[in-house]
Amino acid sequence: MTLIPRIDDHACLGHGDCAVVAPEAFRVDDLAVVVGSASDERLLEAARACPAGAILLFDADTGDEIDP
Amino acid sequence: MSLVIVGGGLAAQRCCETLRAAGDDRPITILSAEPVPPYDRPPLSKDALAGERDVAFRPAEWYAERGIQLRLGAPVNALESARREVTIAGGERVGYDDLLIATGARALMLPALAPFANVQALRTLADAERLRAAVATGGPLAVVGAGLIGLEAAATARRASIEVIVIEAAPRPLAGVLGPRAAAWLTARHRAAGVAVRLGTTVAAAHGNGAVEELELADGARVPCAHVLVGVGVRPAVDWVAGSGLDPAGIAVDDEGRTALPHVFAAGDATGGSHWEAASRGGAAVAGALLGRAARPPAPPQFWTDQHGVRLVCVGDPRDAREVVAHGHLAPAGDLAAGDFAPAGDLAAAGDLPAASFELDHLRDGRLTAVLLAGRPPSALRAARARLSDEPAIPERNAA
Repeated sequence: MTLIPRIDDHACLGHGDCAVVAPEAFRVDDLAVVVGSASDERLLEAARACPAGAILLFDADTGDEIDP
Repeated sequence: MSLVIVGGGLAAQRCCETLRAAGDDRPITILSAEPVPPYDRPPLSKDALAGERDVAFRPAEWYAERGIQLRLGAPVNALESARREVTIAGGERVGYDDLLIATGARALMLPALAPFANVQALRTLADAERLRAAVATGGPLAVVGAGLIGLEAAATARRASIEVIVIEAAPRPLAGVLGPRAAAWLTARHRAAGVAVRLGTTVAAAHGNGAVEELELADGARVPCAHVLVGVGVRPAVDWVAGSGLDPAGIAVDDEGRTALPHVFAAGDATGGSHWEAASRGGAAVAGALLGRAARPPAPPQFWTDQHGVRLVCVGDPRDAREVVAHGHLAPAGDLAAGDFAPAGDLAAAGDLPAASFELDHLRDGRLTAVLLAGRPPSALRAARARLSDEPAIPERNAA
């Protein structure tokens, strides 16, 4: 499976955990932005780490949202 | 229009980031009492305490590259708003066009324990390094106060397999932020992880020569200890505004962080809040006001904590709830059957402790006031937030 990350701008508070876990995929200016890709494993870890629940992950093939 | 920020914590950092992300390049000066650049405090009682995380928000050059003058070791001791000046200890005056007061809070200390060498609070990076060193030499660690900081530190120290005892005056932990049901569950979780939790008692005396060797509790128990962490709350660190017209007990602000004084803003713990989320929003709101931008829509208050492999997130204000409805599996302390939710997998994996996955809906007059989520996935948190506000459950998304 390949996961595509997105940030829920309403939920993101810029905690920054995503950029610590997967700096290749996320950067935090004031809020987080997606800047690239990372392994599914890292994306799942980043989504779990986010205290705001602001990282959405989608299956690239089906478009379904995946709960980490 | 120059901005001077007094204090170098999250609210200061977020204000700078929001201004610069919007393309605003006004000169900014941060006057921080701390010896190190701004850093994130929540990890200080979690993975940073375990030595697993660097807490700096940004590398030191980030500030210089963005026209932000970072003056460290520069505590401010006076505000003269009529002259638009603050005074740094030592007498240097710094003028401002706009001022953000973001000096945060300081940890309270128990006077009876203060004289001893092995007693500390946990607020700063230096505190965390000191506690980490103490934990590394072995226990027992006595934690006085079962608030968020004390419990997180207790859980982290326990991971290092040292003896930990938590002493709390109230009949339950986190009484200020959690209801009795969640508190009972959390107490059982700590005990299952091997933390001794003593509720409804206080420290009556401390014995030792220079360093505490034994705490004597009000119920007569004697607790041997090698180190003592005091986590009995914080108070806004704004004594320095005394005489300016602002309240040195905590600065009142509107939704955009404006104080009663012109061109003076405040954000974060200096305003009497005490959660990370409020400081982040507060710093960003001040930046928004300086930019003349509409404020972000208000959001319910929120905090999170990680303890013994379980993440607890609370959305809303649970304190005045009259009714609590539980969904999920509250074992080992709860009375619900398992199975309402699927196990939360890695999120709850913590040695041999059972996985936790439950939600507590807090209601008052039939209205939902807060949801506490334990070991639940992000989609559940978003759904809870949507139930608490008019925010759409499926939000608009920015591009990948």
